[in-house]
Amino acid sequence: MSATSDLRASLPLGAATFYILLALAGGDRHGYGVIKEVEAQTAGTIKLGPGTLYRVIKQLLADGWIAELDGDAGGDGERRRTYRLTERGRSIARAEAERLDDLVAVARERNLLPMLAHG
Amino acid sequence: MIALFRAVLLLCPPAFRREYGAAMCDDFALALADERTVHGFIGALTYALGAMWDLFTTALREYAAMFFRDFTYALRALRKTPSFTAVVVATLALAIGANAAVFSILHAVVLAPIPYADPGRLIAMNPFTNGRPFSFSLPNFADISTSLGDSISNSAAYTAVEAQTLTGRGEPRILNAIATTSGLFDTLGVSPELGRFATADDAKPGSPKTVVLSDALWREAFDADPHAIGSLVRLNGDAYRVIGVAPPDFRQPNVDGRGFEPADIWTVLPQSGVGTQYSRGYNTFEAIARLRPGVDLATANASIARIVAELQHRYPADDALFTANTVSLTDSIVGNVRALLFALFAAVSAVLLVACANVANLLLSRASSREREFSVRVAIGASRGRIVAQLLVETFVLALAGGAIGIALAYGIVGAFAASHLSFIPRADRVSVDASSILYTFAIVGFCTLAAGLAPAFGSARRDVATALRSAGRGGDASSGARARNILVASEIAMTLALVIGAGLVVRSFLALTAQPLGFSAENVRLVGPINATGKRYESDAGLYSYMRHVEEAVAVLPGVRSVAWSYAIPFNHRNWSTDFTMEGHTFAAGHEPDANITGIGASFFDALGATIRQGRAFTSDERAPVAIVNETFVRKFIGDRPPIGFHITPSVSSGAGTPPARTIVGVVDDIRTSFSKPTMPTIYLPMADLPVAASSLIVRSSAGASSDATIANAVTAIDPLVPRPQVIAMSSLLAADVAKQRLTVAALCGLAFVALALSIAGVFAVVSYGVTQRTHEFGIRMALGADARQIVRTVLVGAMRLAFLGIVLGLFVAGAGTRLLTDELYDTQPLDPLTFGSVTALVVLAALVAALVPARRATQVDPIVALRYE
Repeated sequence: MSATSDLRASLPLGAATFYILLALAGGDRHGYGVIKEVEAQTAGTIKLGPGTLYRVIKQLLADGWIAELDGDAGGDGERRRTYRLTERGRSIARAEAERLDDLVAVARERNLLPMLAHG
Repeated sequence: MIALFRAVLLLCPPAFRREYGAAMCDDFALALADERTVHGFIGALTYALGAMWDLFTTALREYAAMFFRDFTYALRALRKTPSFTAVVVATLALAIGANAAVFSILHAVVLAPIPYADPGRLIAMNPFTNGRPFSFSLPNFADISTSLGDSISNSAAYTAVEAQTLTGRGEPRILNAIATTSGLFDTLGVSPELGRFATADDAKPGSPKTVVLSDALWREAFDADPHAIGSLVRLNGDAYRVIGVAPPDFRQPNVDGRGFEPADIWTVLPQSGVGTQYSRGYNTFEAIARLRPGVDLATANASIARIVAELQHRYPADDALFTANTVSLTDSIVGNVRALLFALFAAVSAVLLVACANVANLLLSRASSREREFSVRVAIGASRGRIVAQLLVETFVLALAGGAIGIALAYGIVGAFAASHLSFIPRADRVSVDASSILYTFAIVGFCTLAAGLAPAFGSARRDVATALRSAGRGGDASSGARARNILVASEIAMTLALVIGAGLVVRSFLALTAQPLGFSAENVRLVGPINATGKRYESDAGLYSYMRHVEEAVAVLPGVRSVAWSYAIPFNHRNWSTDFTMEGHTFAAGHEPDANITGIGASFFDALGATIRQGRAFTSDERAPVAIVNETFVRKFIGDRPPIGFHITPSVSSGAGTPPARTIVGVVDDIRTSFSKPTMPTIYLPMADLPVAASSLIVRSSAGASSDATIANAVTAIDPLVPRPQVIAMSSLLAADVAKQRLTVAALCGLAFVALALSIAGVFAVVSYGVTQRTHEFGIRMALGADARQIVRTVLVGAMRLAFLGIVLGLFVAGAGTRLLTDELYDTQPLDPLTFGSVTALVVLAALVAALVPARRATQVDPIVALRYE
């Protein structure tokens, strides 16, 4: 109960934060991998700058929503830093997705979006 | 492109850069290569620019986040030490408030442009006679203006016409009227709020008389009615047509050293005429002009010098001693108070420095008690930069709080200043804490943060971790912060010494100024007037004098009134009338006659003022014989060793159109001062019965508290209700107004000096106390080894005096340079007055000694056992 309300307090997430959590929800990635994945998720409309990417990553690491993997996922030395969604990060991302889902449902009721055939 | 990205990266906080810089560069390079293959060069360029902008805003956000963290941390830390926080904030608030207030005053009075179009091209033309400031006659003004045609585009001459009575709009009221040539408003570049201003046509002889109203008069007497334009008003009985209203913020310049002239109404001087007003000997006008673009003052002055030489040659009878020059109108208006306000600004800035030094000192002590906290933070990985930043933010929080309270304080000071009607300061009523004051306050807050915070912040961060951790239990090492603290206190003492010397000088000057004998007694004397009797009944001397006698008698019978007399000139009223004269046994070349102040007086004038008649007698009641009384300066200057009584002089004034008569001197009176700061002029007194002057005033001496001001004014209006109700002013307030500027200087400088002295005493006390605490251990050992209390006290005091000595040597230099700013404000007192320098130095040494004595005595109470226990 308190865990849920704790999650709620973090919502809504900033756009960049949610994109990055979504990207990592599909598997561990290094920085550039996240940029590519976000680009793919948004059909090429969003290409994160490295500044925003690492500013958010720093915050997510500090909050414990993602973790940096020890060792080296890529082949070219220590510069390749790989990140993984933590359980907590997953819960937050899920909570944000549910929040958005609720909003989408409202949008459908108001005929802003077509009703799904099997709601 | 990557190099550019790296350059932008440098803007990021170092910690962030170290952690993610390499990864960001790699990712940027990858993304850039990617973009180029997919979208070509333009796509890559677009991406690169976007990413760099993104990095730039990231840097800003990182810094903001850091600042916010430090800010909340600082708030928490400061809340833990409320008394420290309160002392520092109060010190800074006082200093910042005083600075913001003085800046607001300086800005509104001196720095803000004078309220006319393109004020840089406006000039005042200053006439002189025999080297003394003088006035223009209309012919001299016209000749000079015409010949200056190449240098100036417009010019105007004007004079304040005293005691103009407006009738027919409610109660009769006395107005401040300005009679001006038609070019006044054009020269100043001002447009009317309503209607129009006078043109050259209105100034043609025979044109109907016109007036322009001030906005205030239009609102008060005409209820702001737009139909006032075109209506007729009566001034001293004559009809004038209202043609326009001046804008609300318009101010009549006064180039006579009073800044701005109160003005309710403007009349137009006809271009030519026959009255005395148009003669070359009638010098009463001030003049201003607008330079043509590209012409400078030097050019105008060179031209004026040529014309003046010509006038001297052509009209020796009137212009033999006449000269003129020009100065910028701005200098003419604010020059009188500029030096004073800059001196105050310097003084208040010195107080700010003292306050900053004090706060820096407190911060140093605080930092040394927090060494353990910093050591721990360094040990767990905080960089030096982070600790410096965090301490600076802490100081910033203190300065910001001080600034906020300071602004409130400045509002109070400025409000009191604007409300105190300091008429000698132009636009004093306009002074306010405005946007520029707030901006200035922010700048001071920034300055205080750095001035008070840099040394403590760097001092704390430099400390070696291991040493600090080891010695933290005993309160840190004494040497590194101690030197900074000593320098701070020494500079505090220096600033304070300079300020107190400045204050001492102005006090000395004020005492010298006001100690001069007045030649009369101001106590229980009131001034009633000017009483402006106008209209047909008073046009003849006989009619006017009969009215004056009635008024005199009506006031004389009021309860408690001891003595009443009319006079045109009143001491300390800055209303003088001068005339040239000839004397028996002397011949003067035309234009080289001597001049003296002259005034008509009633029979009881000297009695009412309590002045002493040295020789001869006062005038008798209704005396009409050609007689005169002169003052001692007149005798000294013109009569010398000859017996003055019975001597004949011929002032060039007469009743009616007759030739001025030779007058027999029947009395010599003590010099009656007319101002504290100006020397007494030779003065001729004539009997009012012989030469009644309209718009004269009554001098009333009564027993204390007798007959209220209103009773006296009522008695005057009862004689003729059409005469405007006169003002009643205590002579003592005229005396006070005469030294208002000096009084303000004394009050401001003494206040600032007091604050600085208090801060310095606190500073010396703090630094000596701290030193004693640091040396508890040493003193304990010395006591244990048999040192007696006196030796310990001496050690501490010698240390403190070494500090004070450094500060005093420095301060004497600062004072020597700084008191120059006061040169123009000092009366009969040298800027380097040895008595002031000496006694103030002694005072400051004494204050430092007392401040050091308390902690010194505490040092002797150290218990050797306790002190050594730490070992």
